[in-house]
Amino acid sequence: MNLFEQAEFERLQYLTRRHFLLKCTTGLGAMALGSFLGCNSSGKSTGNTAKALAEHSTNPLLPKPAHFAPKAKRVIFLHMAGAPSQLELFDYKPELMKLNGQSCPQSLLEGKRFAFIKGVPKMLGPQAEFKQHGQSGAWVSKHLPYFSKVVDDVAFLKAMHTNEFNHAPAQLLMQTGNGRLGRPSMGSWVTYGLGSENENLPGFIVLVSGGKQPDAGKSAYGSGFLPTVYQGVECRSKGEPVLYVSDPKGMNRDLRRHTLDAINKINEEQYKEMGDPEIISRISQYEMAFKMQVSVPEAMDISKEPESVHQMYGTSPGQSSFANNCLLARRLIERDVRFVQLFHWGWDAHGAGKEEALNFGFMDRCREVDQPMAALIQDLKQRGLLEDTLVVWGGEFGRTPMLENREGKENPFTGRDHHTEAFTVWMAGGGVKGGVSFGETDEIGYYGVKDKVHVHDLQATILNQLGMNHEKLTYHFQGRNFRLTDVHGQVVRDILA
Amino acid sequence: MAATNADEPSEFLLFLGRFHPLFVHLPIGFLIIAFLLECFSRLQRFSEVRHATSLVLLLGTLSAVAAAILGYFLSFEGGYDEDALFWHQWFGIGVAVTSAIAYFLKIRTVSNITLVSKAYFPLLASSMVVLMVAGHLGGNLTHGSEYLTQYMPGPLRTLAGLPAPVKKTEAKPITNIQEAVLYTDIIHPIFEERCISCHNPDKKKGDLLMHTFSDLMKGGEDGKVLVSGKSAESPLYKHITLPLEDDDHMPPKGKKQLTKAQIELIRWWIDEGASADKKVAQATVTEPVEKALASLGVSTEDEGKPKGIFAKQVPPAKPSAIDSVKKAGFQVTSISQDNQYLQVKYTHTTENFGKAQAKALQAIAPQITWLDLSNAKITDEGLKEISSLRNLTRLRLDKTNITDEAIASLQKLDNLEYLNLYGTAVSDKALPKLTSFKGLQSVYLWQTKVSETGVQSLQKQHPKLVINTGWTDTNKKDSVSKSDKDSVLKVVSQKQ
Repeated sequence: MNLFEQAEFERLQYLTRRHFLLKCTTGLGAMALGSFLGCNSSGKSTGNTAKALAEHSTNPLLPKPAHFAPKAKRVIFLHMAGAPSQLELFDYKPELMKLNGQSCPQSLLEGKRFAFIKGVPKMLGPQAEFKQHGQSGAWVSKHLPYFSKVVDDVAFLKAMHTNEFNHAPAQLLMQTGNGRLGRPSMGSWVTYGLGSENENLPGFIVLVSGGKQPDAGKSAYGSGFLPTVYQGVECRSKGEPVLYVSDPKGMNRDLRRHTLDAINKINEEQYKEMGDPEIISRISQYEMAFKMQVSVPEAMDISKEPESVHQMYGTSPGQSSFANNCLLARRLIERDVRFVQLFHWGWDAHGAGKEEALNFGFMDRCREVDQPMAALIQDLKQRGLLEDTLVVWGGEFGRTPMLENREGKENPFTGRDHHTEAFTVWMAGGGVKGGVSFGETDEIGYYGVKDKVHVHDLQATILNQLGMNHEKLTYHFQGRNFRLTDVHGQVVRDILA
Repeated sequence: MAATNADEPSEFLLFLGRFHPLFVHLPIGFLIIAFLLECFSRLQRFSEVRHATSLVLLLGTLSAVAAAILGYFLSFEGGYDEDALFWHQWFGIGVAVTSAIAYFLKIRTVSNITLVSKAYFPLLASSMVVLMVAGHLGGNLTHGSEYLTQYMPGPLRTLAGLPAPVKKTEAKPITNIQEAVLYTDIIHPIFEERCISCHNPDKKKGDLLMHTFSDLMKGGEDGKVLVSGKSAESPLYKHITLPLEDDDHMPPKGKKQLTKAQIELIRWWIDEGASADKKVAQATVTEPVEKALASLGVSTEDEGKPKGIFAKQVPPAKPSAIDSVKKAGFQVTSISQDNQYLQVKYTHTTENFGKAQAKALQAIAPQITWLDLSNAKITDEGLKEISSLRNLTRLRLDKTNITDEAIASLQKLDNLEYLNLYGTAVSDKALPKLTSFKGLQSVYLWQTKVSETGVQSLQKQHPKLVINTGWTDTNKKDSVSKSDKDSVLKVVSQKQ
């Protein structure tokens, strides 16, 4: 021990508890102040909230009562990623046929910005034959022969419009209410608001087909700033439904149980010590994963469905297809999953290649979705589930009435460019009137002229059917409350039963 | 100037008393300055100011005495909470006394009596404290005890040991106007907004209290203010309808006035008997009243108003009852925040749903409106008990072992709207029984033993009933879709 160390040692020996407390006064005071200031800061610390929080922390997915009595308990959203052309499917424009091949008048182009159209494009008439169907006389093109049988169960929104003309932002706007990254998706908001009635499965499940993820990526079903427990869980329809959820070789279920019990015990000790609700969240996630090891393979196994069902949907087990996903959606809905989100990619019919031509790839897409989506409606209906299940079908925007001329040159195939001003979305079940067409576009399907419905209005309507006021479903983040519909949204009451 | 009545205070004294709120600020200013001067004079840099201290202290003392006397005159006026007044009065006198003593000590200090000089400064400081307390109590008397802390941020409230802020009771949005109670839902919120800030236990202007119905009925210093059924004879209505310039007009000039619609509603309430619990449905709604109601943001036909069973309220289920139902193998969830109804699902589908399970449901019978027994093994006894769930609107019995007999035992369910029987052994025999469900809207019969003729005859008797027998028209579908497929191919070949 050198001289310095000795001096230091002697000095420390003279330090007493009083010195310690004396030096600590400011720190202790600040800590006390912190607890005073913190404990009442939210201004809503009523006994009720505290109770809710207590329940919340043990299982964030417990079912919660809606704002008012709901018409729908569950939602299936069929998102046609890439944006199908309304002019070839539902929005019949005979006038546009007459203009086919003529140059687009300047008045329609002034002040407009397109994704690809340059200069003066030609008008393009409907590339499909249309017929009226059902008792409601809904116009549906011959591309959708199966779907045209169920139009009396469907409400069409024909004058939808959006703000974004590129896929990723438009998909984000459709799914999260905002064209930029970072907001929670609709399914996350819904499970945050209502919880899940099946404790063995996630409340929000995503199924992707068409060979590609939606352009907006996983943010289209992410939880944004909501707790991650509300994010969409993507299940694969081929191979293992959820990766890494099954036990490795040599690990049996009892051993897994023992492991989890031990881990949970440690986590509980930690929780008692720290009081951090994220620890409880972690415990419940471990438990959920354990239950999912059994429940997910069972729910996702369509091979045991009878042959008649496979014929109805056009499914073949073991494949990855939109049809299989529709059948899975029904199976998940039967198990009270709150929100099932399907994405089917490949609708971006520009005409720049064969796969994205209105007369080739687009028609393949129609064949891929037509039978299963009609079957889904019928199947839900005969099982008595359509009354309280809302089915929503739509893309992220519409297509132009003009033939796309990429870079001012003629495309090798027939196609249309992105269009924000008019597109069609349909809804079925969940307290929505059947056989209704709401909204109208002009003679060429360029603009909505009557009963326009914005993406935020659609979202407000979906939440309304679930018994939630879109203005009251909020989450406090970065100093303010956020909503799915931001500061917009009007419930479309005209299509409600 | 002599008072006409021994009990009545002299008007001149009241006139002087009204100067109390004005005068009271002088001692506050003077005494604080005196105290500050005294503090500063102890610093060398400012030692010259000590000469000013005694003069300022004298002014403070004199004005404190004057303010106390004027305050005493003002107290003759009455209408203040006596307890608060008592403390304010004595603390006010305390200010005058302590500052007077401090002044005498100050001028004595010059003659260097050590003990006295030591007592001087603490006395001055304590007069400061008394001054603060008296001033605060006075403020409470004028503005109400909540005035200072009303907008205090939550953290500060905690520091001050106050309870969490009480949200101003906003008038609850009236969801169903017909069920709204005139007094509690319409009239009291108006009083709350415009009258109660003066007519409350703290202030009691004119001895009239309006914060509760019973106090309002007691009336004020001139007797009752309401004559049931006669607005024209009710002093309350007279006061609010006097011209604004009239001294007796209420609310007083300068305060927020009642709107025409609010006055109309008060008139309506008095003419309807000024009752505490009369509902809108029981009153006659004339056109002006309807307009006035509409101005409150309530219309008589509300679009979002709950329909069917949800328009009827039931009492909340006991938590212990819910727990017992959960233990019997059910999932119990409340449906929405604006009612007490519950949805119940039987989750122990591997076990029988028998008498014991059905009995367990009785504890929450009035609240159950959606019941899901799909996939359950239901015994006949169990199903019989279900018929006592009178508020049931949705019943799922799909994929169960129930038979035709079961339907008969359900016939008492008058509110039933949705009945799911798909995947059961129900046959044509059960169908006639379905006609007895008055409210039934949809029935699901896919994969049952019912025949087409049976369904047709049921449809005839019950034309509005939606009967779903599933997608059985496979032949028809195939033939149609085949021709459609051809046309799709045709379109393709055309384009090629």
